[in-house]
Amino acid sequence: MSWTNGMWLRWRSLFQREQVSRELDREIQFHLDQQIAENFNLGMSPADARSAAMHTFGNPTVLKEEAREAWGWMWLEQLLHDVRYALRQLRKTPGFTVTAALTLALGIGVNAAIFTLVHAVMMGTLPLTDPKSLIRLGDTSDCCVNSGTSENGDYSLFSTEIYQRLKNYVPEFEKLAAMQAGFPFRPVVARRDGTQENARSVMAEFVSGNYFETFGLKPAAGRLFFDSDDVKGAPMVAVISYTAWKRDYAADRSMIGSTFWINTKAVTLVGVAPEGFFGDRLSTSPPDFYFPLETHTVISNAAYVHDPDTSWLYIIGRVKPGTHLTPLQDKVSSLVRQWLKETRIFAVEKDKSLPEKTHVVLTPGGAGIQDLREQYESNLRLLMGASALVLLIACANIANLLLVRGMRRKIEMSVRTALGAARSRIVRQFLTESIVLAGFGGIVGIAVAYSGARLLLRLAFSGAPTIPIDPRPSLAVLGFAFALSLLTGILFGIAPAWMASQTNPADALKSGVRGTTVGASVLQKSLVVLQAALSLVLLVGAGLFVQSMTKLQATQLKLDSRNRYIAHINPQGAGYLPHDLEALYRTIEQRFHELPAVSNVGICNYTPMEENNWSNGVQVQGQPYTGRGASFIKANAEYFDSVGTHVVMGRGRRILSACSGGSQRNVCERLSSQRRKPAWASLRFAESSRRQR
Amino acid sequence: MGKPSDLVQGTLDLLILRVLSLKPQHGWAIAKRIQQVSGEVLQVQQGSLYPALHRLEQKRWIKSKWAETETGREAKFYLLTPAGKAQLEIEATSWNRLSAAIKLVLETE
Repeated sequence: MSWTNGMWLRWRSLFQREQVSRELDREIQFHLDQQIAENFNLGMSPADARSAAMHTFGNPTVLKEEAREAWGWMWLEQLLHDVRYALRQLRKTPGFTVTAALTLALGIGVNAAIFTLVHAVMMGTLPLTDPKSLIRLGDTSDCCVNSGTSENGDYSLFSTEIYQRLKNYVPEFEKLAAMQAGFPFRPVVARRDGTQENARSVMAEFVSGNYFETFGLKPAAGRLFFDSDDVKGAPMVAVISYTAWKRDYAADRSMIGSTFWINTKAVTLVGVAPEGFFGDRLSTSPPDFYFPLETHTVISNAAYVHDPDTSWLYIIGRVKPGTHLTPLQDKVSSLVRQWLKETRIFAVEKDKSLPEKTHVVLTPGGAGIQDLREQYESNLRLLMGASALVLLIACANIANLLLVRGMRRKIEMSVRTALGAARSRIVRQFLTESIVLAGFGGIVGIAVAYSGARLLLRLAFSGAPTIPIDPRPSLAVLGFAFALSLLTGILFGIAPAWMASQTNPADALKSGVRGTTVGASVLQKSLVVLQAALSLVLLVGAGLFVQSMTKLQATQLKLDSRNRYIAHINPQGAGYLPHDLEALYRTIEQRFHELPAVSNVGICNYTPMEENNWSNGVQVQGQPYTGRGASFIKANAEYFDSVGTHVVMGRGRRILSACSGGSQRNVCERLSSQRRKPAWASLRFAESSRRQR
Repeated sequence: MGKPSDLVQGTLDLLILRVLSLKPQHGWAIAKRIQQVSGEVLQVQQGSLYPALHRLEQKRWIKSKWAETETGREAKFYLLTPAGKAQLEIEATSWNRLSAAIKLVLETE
């Protein structure tokens, strides 16, 4: 056996406690034996030798205790003792324990559930390599295909031309990727070649050749895109998302290299995106397929891919290490300003201050395009506030329960103090009990959090085929819940513990009955007041919510949704060209009318209340163009009847366009009130157009 | 008897380190040695040696191992570590300075 050092002793004294204790016994026994033998040799009787040895040695029990203390685990022993005692106390009052744990579980669970969501939406980063060095060019959720100017000069949407120039002129970006802004509004029709499967409408995103490389992603199978895929005339290729690969094709590796018919064009599948990658933004409809930007022209028949006046791309880049963002932002802004000045839309722009206002704001790109965050941020904050209040109420409630319980245990405390228990020890005892209770609450709370988060996600992503957020609480959420329960335990443990430590044992034992001290009643009362006040705030909030909800439901939108059904039809996806459409629409009308149950067939490019709309500058014939804009819907003759509304003035048949949408409607009404005779046919749509959500 | 006072404890540590600086010893031998060398003046309560030994081992000034004595019994031997050697020097120096100072105070009229 070799020499053992202190570290080893410390380790063994924790994990081999019994054995180390026995060694100590042996060591001391050896000592005593030696001393007894010596005494005996000096001529003492065996009994005298023993008692003399014991006398010179001292109290072995106390000394062993001291030696054990030297090992340094006394605190742990006491803690274990406290925890065991706390468990025994809690078991004695199961009603209290269950009530308290469930109250806490609810408080902690709701908070953790909402935190899961907040974490995913507001703090989440995409599953990428080094997300911190990813920078997005732009800070708004402007969408989708825009050939106008930005009113406040803040640019987030770019043309292919500007993207390519940025790639060449800004070497601070190691990689610069571009992606289609409006893919959620432009699904494609896909069918695998040589199979019996039906053509399906799926989400697909057009991305630059270095897209996956910029994000630092590795394929799950096959390969991802190269720059050479994103060149005019290159063979058309596609990457499928891991989710779609698994869901629709049972993760079949042999399908790499097979042909897909995308909007009736043949495309070769080259690879599968990695698991957990749901595209560059948190979305209710993540893309199933990715295609190179260049193929947008062929697949979607998009004429604007190389139009310097049309912006349709978001840009995310990876900066080189040590790049300072402020000078980079200035550089990007001035380059974009300079290049935009060369475009035709800037040449015809009336607002002469616009070029000077033009700028680009750099934002962290590690979480992708954060449009979902923009949408939900304030709602989530509100939810977080409400759930924090719930937790506060739960804490106050439990503090009160514990306080009352502490009163009842006053005599026990008095006896213990009288027997010599230190105040600090009693306070620690109470704190341990609260923390153990909070721990239980935390564990049950995690279960509540998991099911709560699932419920919330299902509400938020209702109808989505895949939910890109994992409801399982992550390490951060677990940490959050644990910290919360610990904090709660300490918070509501302090009051009763403090009260207990103030106990004067003599008084309590004398009276023999549980008495209330003034301090306790004041504390209790203020806790009740606090609880009532917080509950009132929550109730008022809930009442307001319900009222807003009722109001929203009762809002008269001049629409009638009863017995009306919406079918989305994508003629282009089936290979129709613009000049086929007129005949197609007539066929659709005719075929639907042949069904005896159908009374009206409305055809329009955007259904009522659908997110997307299209707006243009509008000019009344014979009057100067005032720069006024209006959004419009292309519709057939039966449109108004089919959505359950009517035309206020004039006639509704054979019209080509109708106005719709919040602020834009005012424009229409104003236009029509200015002209006594509505003159829809004579409205001219200005050339610069703007499509947005 | 309770815990030795701080002064005694510190002194005991010094004595143990000093005894162990000669050669590795087991507890009983250390106690005997202290008694002998001090001319039976320092009558340390033998048992208080053990908490002190464990404390010193925890501080890594000494190491331990079980080995046979001359009489063939198993005993726990302690050995001074290099850190212990350094500590002995520090404590001896400070002890010397203290006792010299006290002596000076006592001798000054």
